[in-house]
Amino acid sequence: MTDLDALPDGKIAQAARRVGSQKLVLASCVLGLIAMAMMCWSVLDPRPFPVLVAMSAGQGIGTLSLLCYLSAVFVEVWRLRNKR
Amino acid sequence: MHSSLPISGVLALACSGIASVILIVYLIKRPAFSLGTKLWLFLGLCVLPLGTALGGNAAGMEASKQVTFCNSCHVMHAHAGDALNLNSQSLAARHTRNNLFGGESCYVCHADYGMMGTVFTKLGGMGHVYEYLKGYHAVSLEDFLAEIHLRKPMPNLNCQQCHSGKNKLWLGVPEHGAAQAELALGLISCASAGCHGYAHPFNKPPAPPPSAAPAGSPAEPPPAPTEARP
Repeated sequence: MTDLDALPDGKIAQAARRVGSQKLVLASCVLGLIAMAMMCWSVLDPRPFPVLVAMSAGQGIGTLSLLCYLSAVFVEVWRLRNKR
Repeated sequence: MHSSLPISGVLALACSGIASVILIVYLIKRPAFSLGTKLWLFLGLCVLPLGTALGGNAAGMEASKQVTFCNSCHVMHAHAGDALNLNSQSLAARHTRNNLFGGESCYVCHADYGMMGTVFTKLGGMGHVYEYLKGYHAVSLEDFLAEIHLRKPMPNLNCQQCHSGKNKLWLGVPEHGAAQAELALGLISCASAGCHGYAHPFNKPPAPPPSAAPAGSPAEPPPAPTEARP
């Protein structure tokens, strides 16, 4: 039995296991930078389109970034727990 | 770009700047996913972006109250142009000249009040932006003015946030006393022909001459209950 076999068998867990924590963190960082760039754009240029983009796509991408990071942490925690 | 940033905007930019440094350093160095790295990333991916989102949202909300924000879309140029015209005597212009309304006169008059008023107003505003992006951005101002209408009548409560309708001066006007019940029910709009006039009269049909009204009935409410067009 490998380390990762101890993960739950849900679809999200399987996807996280396939991708791996390093790639999840990488994706999280990139998505986070994109989301923050959108939000900064709306602050510096408060016209309808930037504000709308920041409050919809920016929030969504930012949330996705956080979820990627949390998934990476859980994958790592489960992996370490399984090692013991 | 605004000449001065609100505090919330500064907070958003500061959080974003620090978070970006953390994330870029991580992307360049790619350290092991140790506890220390996790904590730094937690700061850069959760705590600071949360500050960016809160500050950015607050700044966006504040920005969306400005007349300049409404005037960003070409279809609002006529409305904002009239409101900002120092020579105009329309309700919108007279209120925009009032310091209490300042640069937020569109929002102050059109915002729904009450506990959830801001939320519903912002949702409505999102609808406006959606409609604009969907099709109205390609429509000429003349066609737009001929086509648009208010989604719902402008409630008198919006006027009564400032004009309470309870003091002696207000009650002393015979028309107010005669139409009090209709005003409370929203059957007559304060901003209608025959009362205080349309807020944005430039694209409205001209008001009927005073002689057209039945003699001896100055307090007769106009048949059209509300301002039908913005």
